Amino acid sequence: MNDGALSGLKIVELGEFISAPHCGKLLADSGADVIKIEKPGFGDKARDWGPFPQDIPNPEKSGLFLYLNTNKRGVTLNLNSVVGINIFKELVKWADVLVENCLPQDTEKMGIDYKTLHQINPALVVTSITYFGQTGPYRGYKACDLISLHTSAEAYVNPLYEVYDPEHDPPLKLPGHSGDFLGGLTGAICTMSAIFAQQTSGVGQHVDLSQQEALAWIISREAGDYFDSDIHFQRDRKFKWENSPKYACKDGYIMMVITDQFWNGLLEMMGNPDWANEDAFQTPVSRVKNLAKSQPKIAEWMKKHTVAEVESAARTQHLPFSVIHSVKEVTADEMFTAREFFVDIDHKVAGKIRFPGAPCKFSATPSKIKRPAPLLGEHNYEVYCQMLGYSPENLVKMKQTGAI
Amino acid sequence: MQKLPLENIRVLDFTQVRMGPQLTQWLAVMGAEVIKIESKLRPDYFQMIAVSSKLSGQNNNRVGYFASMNYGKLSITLNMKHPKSIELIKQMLKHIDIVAENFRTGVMEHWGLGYEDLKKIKPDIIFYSGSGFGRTGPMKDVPAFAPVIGGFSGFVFENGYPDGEPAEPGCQGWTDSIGAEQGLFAVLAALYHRSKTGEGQYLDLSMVESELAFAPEAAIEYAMNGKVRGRVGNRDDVMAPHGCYRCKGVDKWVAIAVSNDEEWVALCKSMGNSELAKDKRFSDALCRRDNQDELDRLIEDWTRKHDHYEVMKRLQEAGVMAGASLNIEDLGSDPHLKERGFLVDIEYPDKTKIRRLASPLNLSSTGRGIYKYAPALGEHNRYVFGELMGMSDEEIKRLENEEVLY
Repeated sequence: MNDGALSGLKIVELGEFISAPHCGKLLADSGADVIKIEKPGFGDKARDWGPFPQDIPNPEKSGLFLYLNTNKRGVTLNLNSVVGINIFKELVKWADVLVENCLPQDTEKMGIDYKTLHQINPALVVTSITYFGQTGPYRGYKACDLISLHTSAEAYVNPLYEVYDPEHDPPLKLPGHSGDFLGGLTGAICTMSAIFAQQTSGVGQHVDLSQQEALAWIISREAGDYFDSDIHFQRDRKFKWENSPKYACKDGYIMMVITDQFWNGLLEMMGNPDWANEDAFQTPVSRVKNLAKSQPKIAEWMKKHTVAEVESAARTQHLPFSVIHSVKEVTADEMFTAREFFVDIDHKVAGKIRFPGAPCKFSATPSKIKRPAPLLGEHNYEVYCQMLGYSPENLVKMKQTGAI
Repeated sequence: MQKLPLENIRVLDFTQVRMGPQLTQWLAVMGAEVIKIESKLRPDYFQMIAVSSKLSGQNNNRVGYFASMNYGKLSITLNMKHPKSIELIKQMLKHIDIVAENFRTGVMEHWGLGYEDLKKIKPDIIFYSGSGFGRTGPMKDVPAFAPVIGGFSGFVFENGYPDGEPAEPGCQGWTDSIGAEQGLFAVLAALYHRSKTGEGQYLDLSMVESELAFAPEAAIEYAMNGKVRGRVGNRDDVMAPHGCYRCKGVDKWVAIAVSNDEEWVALCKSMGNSELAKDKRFSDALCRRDNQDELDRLIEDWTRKHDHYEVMKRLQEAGVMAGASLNIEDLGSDPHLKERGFLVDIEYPDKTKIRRLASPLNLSSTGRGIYKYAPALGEHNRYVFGELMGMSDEEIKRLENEEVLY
C-alpha cells in the first residue's frame, strides 16, 4: 500500500506565506504527516493573497494558499500566549521535524529557539528558512521575495543579454515568487539531509537556511567564472548577445538552442542559405568564434516567418526548440494531459480547482493529493483532543481565551 | 566530527552537462561517493566549452565550468560502445545505491541498463532518470536544453520588463537548477523510503514539469479566472513601493519594498522627508499602488545620492525592507556571506586552488558538507575497478589497452 515515500515522517510547520509552506507541501505531498500551525482568526497571510474565483476575496479560496498547503492538517495556535507555547512544545515532542520561517529574533522572543527545542526533543530537526540566516551582520533583516532575488545577484544578471542601457534598465526580479519558492525547495532538501544525519547519529540538528544563499548558489557556475577568470556576468546586451537563444518571429517569440550537433539541421531548416558556405562557418570552432556574424542572419530569417512555420520546420529537423508559451498555451498542451501532470482538487469551500502536480513520477510511491488544503483550524479537535489528549471542554476554553 | 548525511551512499553517475551533474554534486557535498562515468570519446560538454577559464590547461581542463558542476566526484572512464563496459557496470551494481542518468529516452534501455534490467541485479536500486519532458508522453524524445524548457513552461514569457520582450532568466542555469533540486528532493525522498522499507524505485523527473510546479502562480490564476499573467518587472501585485532604484556609482541599485503604512512612514523618515508620509497621494496602500510611477520617481531622487549598501543599512535599521542589488563580484566580498562561510577554497592535488560558493546546506553539527576537487579524467579507475571491484592491476591495464576503460 502506497502512503508516499515519506510516510511516517512527522512534521510541524510554523510559518506563513510561501517559503516554509512550500517546504511543508513538498514533504506532505510525498506522504509525510504535516501539521500546519496558523494564527487564530487570520491564519496564514497567503489566505489573503489570491487569486480568488471571480476575484471575490475569501480566506478559504485563495489559490496560492490552496496550492501550497495540500495534504496538510491545519490547526490554529497563538504563540503569544503561555498556553499556546506549551501546546507548541507538546507538538514539538511529537514531531521529527519543525519547519519554520520566523525572523530569528521572533523565535527567540517566543522562547522557541533551536537551543530550547533541542532540550525538549534532542532528535528534532529544525529547519529555519529565513532571508538572511540565523547568523551574520544581516541576521534579522526584514525582507521579501524581491529583496532575496536582488541580494543574491540573481536579479543583477536578469534579463539575460537584453539590456541596451544598464544605467537605465534595472536588475530584475524573476517571475512570481521565485525566491520564496526556492527557499522552500532548498529547505526540503536540507531537511532530508538532516534526517539522514539523524538516522545515523540519533541526534537532530538546526538547518540554518538563508534564502540569499539558496538563490546565490544557483549562480555558482557564473561565480566560478568570476573567481577563476575575472569574468563579470551581467544583463548588458554587449556581453555575449550573440549567445542568446531567443528569436523574434513575425507573430511571437521562440527559443532555439544551436549547439554544433544541430548546425546542419538549422541550415536545412533555413533552406541551406549561401552565407553558410563562407569559411567562417565550416568548423565547430570557427562557428563559435563567428556567432556574431551568423546570429543576425538567423535572426533575420526568423523575423520573416511565423512561429507556426518555424515550429513545423524545427520539428522536422529535430532541433531543440520551443515557442515562448504564455500560461494559456502551456496549460492547453497535450503533453501535460498525457503525463497526467495537472491534478484536480475538490475543496470544501473553494470547489474544484486544477493545479500543477508533482514534477517527478515515483514508480513505487507516486505522489497523491489525499486531502486539499485545510480550512482554518480544521484539525484542532483531531490534533489537540484525539492526538494530544485535551478534553473537548478544554478545547472550548482554549478557543475562548484566544490560545487557539 | 559528525558523520556526513550520505556517508554510506554510493552513486553511479551517468549524467552530463548541467541539470544532472548539479544534482549528483549535491549528493557528493552531502558525503555520498559519486562515481562519474566519463569517456575520452565523449568529453563532458562543460569541459569542451571551458575555454574562458584562465586556469584551463592546468589539470586537463578540469577547472572552470567543469569544476563548478563536478567537484567532489570520482571519475572513471568507460567506453559505452564496448560490450565489456556494460558487463562491468552490471558487476559494479552490487556496490551502488543510486543510478543517475539524463540521456535521451531509450539510451539506457538500449544498453541493457534500464531500470527493469538493473532491478533484476539489485532489486532495491534507486534509478533517477532526468529529462526535459519526461520519459512518457508525446514529447519524450524531444532534445531538452534549459532555454527551450524555460520557453515551453511559460517562465520566459513572464520574465522581463513590462514594456519589453519575454526574456531568458539571467542565470542561464535557472531552469537546470530547478530541475536539479526537484530531482534531488525526489532522490532523497526515495532514499528515505528505502531506509524504512528496503524498497527502491524508478524516478522519472521532467524538467518542464519541475519548472511549472515551482512557478505555479500564473497557472493557478489562469485555471481560476482565465487571466494570463504578463511581465511586471520589479513590481508586486500588492506592495507599493516595490522596486529597484538607482544609487550612486555605475550600475548600482537597491531594492526596496513597503508592505504596510508603518513601514511607509519609516521610509519617508529615513529619506529625510517626513512630510511625504502625509502626502495624500501615498497615504494608504491603495493610493501608493495607484501612484506608483510618481512614488518610484521620488524615491529614486533620494537613492541616487547614496551608496546602495548605505541605503540598505539605513532602511533596515528603520525596519524597512531593503537590499542592495548585488552583482557576482559582490557575492565574493559581501561581509555577511563571508562571515557565514559561504565561500569555499577547493584544493587540487597539485596545490591549485579554486574558489567557489558553498552550498546553502548549513547544518549545526555537520556544517556545509564536504568540498573536494573535481577529478581528472579516469582518476579513480584504480580505486573503483581495483579496490572496490577487486580487479588486479594487470586486469585493469588490459582493459585500458582494449579501450574498455577509455
